[in-house]
Amino acid sequence: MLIYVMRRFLYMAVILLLLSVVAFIIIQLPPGDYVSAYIAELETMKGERMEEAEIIALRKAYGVDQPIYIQYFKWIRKLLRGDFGISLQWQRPVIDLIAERLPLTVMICALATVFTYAMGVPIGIYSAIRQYSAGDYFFTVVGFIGLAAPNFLLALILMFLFYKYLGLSVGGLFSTQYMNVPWSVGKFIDMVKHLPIPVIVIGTPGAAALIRTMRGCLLDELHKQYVITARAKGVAERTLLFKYPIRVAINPIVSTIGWTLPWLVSGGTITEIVLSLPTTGPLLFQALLKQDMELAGSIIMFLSFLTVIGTFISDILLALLDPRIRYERST
Amino acid sequence: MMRRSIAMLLSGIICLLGVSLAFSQETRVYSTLADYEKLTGRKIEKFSESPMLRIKVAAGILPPAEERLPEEPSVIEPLEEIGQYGGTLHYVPPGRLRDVRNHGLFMRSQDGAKILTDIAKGYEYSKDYKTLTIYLRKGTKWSDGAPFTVDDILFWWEDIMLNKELNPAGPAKEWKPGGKVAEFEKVDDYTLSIHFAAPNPALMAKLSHPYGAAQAHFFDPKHYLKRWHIKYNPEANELAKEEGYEYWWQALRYHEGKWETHKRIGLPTLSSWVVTKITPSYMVAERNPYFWQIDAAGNQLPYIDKLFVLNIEDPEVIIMKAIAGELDFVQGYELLPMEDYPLCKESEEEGGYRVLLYRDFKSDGMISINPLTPDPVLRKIFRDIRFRQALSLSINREAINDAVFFGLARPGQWAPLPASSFYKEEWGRYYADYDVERANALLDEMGLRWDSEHKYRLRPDGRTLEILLESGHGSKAEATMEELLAAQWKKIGVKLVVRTEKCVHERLRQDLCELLTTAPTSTGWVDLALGTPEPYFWGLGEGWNNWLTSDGKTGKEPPDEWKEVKKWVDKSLTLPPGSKEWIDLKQKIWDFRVKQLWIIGIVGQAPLFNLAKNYVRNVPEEGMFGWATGMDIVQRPQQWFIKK
Amino acid sequence: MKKEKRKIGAEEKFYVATQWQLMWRKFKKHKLAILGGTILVIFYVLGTFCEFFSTQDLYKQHLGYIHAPPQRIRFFHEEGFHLRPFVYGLKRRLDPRTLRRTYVEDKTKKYPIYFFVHGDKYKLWNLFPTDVHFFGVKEGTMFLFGTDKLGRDLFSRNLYAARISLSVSLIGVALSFVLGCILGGISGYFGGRVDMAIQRVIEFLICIPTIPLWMALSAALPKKWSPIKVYFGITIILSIVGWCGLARVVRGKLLELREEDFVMAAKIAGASELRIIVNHLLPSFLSYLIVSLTLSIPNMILGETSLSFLGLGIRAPAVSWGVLLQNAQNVRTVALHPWLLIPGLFVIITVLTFNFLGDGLRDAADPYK
Repeated sequence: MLIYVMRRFLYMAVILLLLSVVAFIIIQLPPGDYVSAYIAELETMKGERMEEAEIIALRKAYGVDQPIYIQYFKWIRKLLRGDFGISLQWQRPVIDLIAERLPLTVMICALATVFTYAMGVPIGIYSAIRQYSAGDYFFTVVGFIGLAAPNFLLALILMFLFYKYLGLSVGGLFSTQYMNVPWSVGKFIDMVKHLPIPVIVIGTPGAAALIRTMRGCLLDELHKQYVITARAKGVAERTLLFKYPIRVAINPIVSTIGWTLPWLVSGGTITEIVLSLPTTGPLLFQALLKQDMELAGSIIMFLSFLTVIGTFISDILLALLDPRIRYERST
Repeated sequence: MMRRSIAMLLSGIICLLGVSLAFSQETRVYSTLADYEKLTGRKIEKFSESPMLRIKVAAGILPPAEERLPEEPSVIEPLEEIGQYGGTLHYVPPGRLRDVRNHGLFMRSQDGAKILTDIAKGYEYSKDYKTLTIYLRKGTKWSDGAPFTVDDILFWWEDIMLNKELNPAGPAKEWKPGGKVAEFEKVDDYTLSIHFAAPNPALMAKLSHPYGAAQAHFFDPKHYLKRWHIKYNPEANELAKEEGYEYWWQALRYHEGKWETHKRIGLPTLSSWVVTKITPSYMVAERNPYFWQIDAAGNQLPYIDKLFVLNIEDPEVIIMKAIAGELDFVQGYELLPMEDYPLCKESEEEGGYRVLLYRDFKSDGMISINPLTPDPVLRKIFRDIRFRQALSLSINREAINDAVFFGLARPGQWAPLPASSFYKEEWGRYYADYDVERANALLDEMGLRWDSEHKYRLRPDGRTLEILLESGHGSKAEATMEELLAAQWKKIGVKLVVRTEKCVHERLRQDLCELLTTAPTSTGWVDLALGTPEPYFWGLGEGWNNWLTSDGKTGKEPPDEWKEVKKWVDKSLTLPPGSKEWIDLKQKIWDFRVKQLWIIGIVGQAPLFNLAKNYVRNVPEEGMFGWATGMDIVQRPQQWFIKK
Repeated sequence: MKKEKRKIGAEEKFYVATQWQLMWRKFKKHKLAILGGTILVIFYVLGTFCEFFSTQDLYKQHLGYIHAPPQRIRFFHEEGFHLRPFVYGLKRRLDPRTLRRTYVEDKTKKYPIYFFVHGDKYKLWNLFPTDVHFFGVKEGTMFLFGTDKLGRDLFSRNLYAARISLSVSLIGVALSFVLGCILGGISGYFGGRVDMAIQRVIEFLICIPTIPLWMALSAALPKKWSPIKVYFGITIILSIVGWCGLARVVRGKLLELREEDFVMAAKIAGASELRIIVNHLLPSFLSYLIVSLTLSIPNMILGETSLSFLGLGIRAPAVSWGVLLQNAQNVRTVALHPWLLIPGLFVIITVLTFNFLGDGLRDAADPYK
């Protein structure tokens, strides 16, 4: 087991290095670079062409006048030293920008995850046990509608309805009057009022999928010999359910729990864009649009890191939960 | 001597005022207090200030208003009424915080046709236009209280513009008339003379725009920035490294702010509000206690204490918040499409705001044709003027105006704005009528045959006449217009393929585009009247323009008539703008340019709108609005106030 | 044979029926699945013959009818019931203050609806030129789902969109399904180095965040490609990334299953590796695969709308539900012209029905339980 863990660590390092190359390519792949995008923006706004002299100065100031591989090595060298660099677009240290937005991002997505599991697992179990009951159908339909509605549409419509019929302030996490004041009960309540839309919109598709998976896996288990035998022997239904089938059925779900780590940071990007939330998703999207190398690169690397860690955790969890999977053999 | 020149200058300004009075929506501004008193016969006895500052003065944190204001403050006669102090303006969108506080030494009138003073007191050209003298207000102070003098301009010029690290390519061409870099001469702390090797009336036209100097603001707070400059601080490199930069000039570039002074905390400013806080969700700017302007009652401006700028870029959230009445001011320029006008208007009462409808200088509707299109067959077709004429004739401008702009824009050919002194009415009508038959006849005459199904025309090489139209800035209005055009040009057998690419600016630099909606050189029309330098070849076809600009060193050689145009343009730059000679020459240039139809106009002066809460006053209800006059600044946001 | 079979009682039939018969029988019990299947068949027929079922050319602009609301099909006129349904004409009014275009029904104008009318010319599947439409009006206009900002008929556009959205998602899913099963199967069954290699590749692909990847790839596709080709390109790319999740699930299950006795039995019986994977292991968790499959088709459809939202998917003039929704994702649509959201309804219904269908299939796949 220890050797397995060590090996996985080594692989993780290699993968992260490879990912940094891919991240760099991904950001550089669209034609142009930050400065050309910036110039385009200025030119569009001004409606007049920029002087050649000005362009040269800008390219130099932003360091995009160097060959691409040098830019990469510069970036990766800084990254290895723990220096995330300075965002071209914001002209502020990347680490500050991410740190500013991370708490809210994690909070929203963690709430959404809790929502997902709190809804998904119990309803999934219920649906499996009471297959084809009215309740099963009800949850199936409601869950699927949540799954079926495109995120951005759901967010937009909910936002409008909340405003129109509940008179709630929409967009962002705070009403304007609470933005610039220190924390207070009022501010907290105000934030709580802003939370339902993002949490519902981000959490629902996951919950619906979870209900399906949970239901499917549990049904599989319930029809297995050992369950039938146990039932035949008169084991109490509750004990029978919780002793094995649920534990087994939950296995694939737990094994993917690690994957929700990166999702915590970028999962709700589209919803967050629609709702104008001050989170990392829209930050990344903007950075990519503007080809803000250091910022986009750092967020991508950060996400990748979380993913790698998440997968790692998932694998370990899988091994711990299901001793039948023998890792020694596969290493 | 100096007094005389100021007197001359004053009479000039009086002239300007006389004209601007005709526009009821133009705020009256007097360059100095003395001017105001002389012209109106009224006296301003005493200065007063916002209660917010009064407390600070009483506490001894700030000097009294008399000491903070310059000796000769500028005076505003507010648009509607003398305002009330105080309040916080919730303003959107964040990117435009720059526009509300974007003061330059000079500015333009709301219609864009005049040069007015702003931070500076006045200017004067020598007779031969080889010397420009600029007069600053004595006692003007930066927002941290440090005096603003000619040294701050010299710092910008000598230490930034002429510095090889900061500005490797050197100053732009308006600083190098006759090929020689201008010379700056400090006459005294408040007087600056700039000497040129050749007449340079165009410089003032550029300087009158807040960013017109193209290389940002023309002055920088030397006392604040010098610690990052290697010339003043030998340890500047170490300081830069501490801050995470590699070289001193990167750190200086950052702190200087350039186009983004509204994103720098601690940077002294001459603007009405000072940015004090930036977070991911909002920015806060507080009043500049040293602002150099007063109203007609002697109140130091601005009226509004604080700007609270919400960091929302998404127009849908903005509209939702506006309808809900959460925002005090929304600047809709290139943010709220006209399609949203009915919704915003319908919710006016509910949200307690008013929709302010303006017109843009820049045209949202035009098609540029690339004479250097890579495809040789297409290029040959494009270069036949009959083809361009046919394209123009087959555009149903009224229908487009109706569908996209609710009929509020002005349909017509691409030409300078009517406010330009050299405007000719016939330009707007040139090949601008809707006549599909004539267009088809022109194409038949060119020998472009229809295909067997009579669906599209064929090129001489037998392929379908298919043209790629790219979107210049990808706005919603543009996209709709493109779809309408595709349907209209189908009637003359031209197959239009519309594509929106992010990198269109790069592509057009390399002359890769075929057609483009809204060339990036679409404005400027209005400052033409002020004498701004114009490109020799206007439109796509960068290669031609480069050839002309570099005297044949780079680019592609244009036809001879454009070489002739270059001579005219060069000549016009040496003439005083507005003189008869100048007007004649400009008309000659534009006559040729418009009739070449390398740019086909669809509609001009497109409508746009801002939203302001009903209690936000002194905001013009109509007029022109746009980049050409520096956006909000032309409305003098310092006089906006929140009515209680 | 037949005679004998008829004699067997209902109870015994169960044991004699083939697996497929059993599945069908079980499937029929799942009412939602039957409903879902029926709706999907209808959608696919509409999509396949969209030129025929649509009432107009999808690009035809009616500039006099910008943002017209859906017209109701009526049977009752002032003087009473009509057997032949009809629509009223529309009168446009431009509100002088708000500039909003509003429409009222013009009761003096009545346009009856006919089947198999001659309308806009088209070529079915780009092969058969004709102008016969399933139904429509002979004069006047009929906008059953209203019109968009250029006065184009949304009913027709939705049908054309259905063709692209429905077909393209199938391709994407099929591709990722095949890849996922094969690679996941190999990885899980063989274990060892092969497993390690495949797992690392998967891990690597999964680690690349999707939004940046979409953006980069969509930007990198050749410019000269038509919007449809671009979308196919993106679909393929998406599925190449999309198979990873499935492969991992397959592998996890396989690791578990290969410990089962029947695998050992097959091995001892001398079955080839491939045979064991395909014949014994894959069917063992068919139900799980079916759930994944039915969940991933709608995911593809949703993926397409998301891509369009970000401006990376299919682009106009091609139409898909995503493209249509792109024009609808704003407050003014929700507030003033909600009929632009109809494609959203199509997406929701399609996703729902796919899920119901998948559910039914899942239950049917294990007919003995």
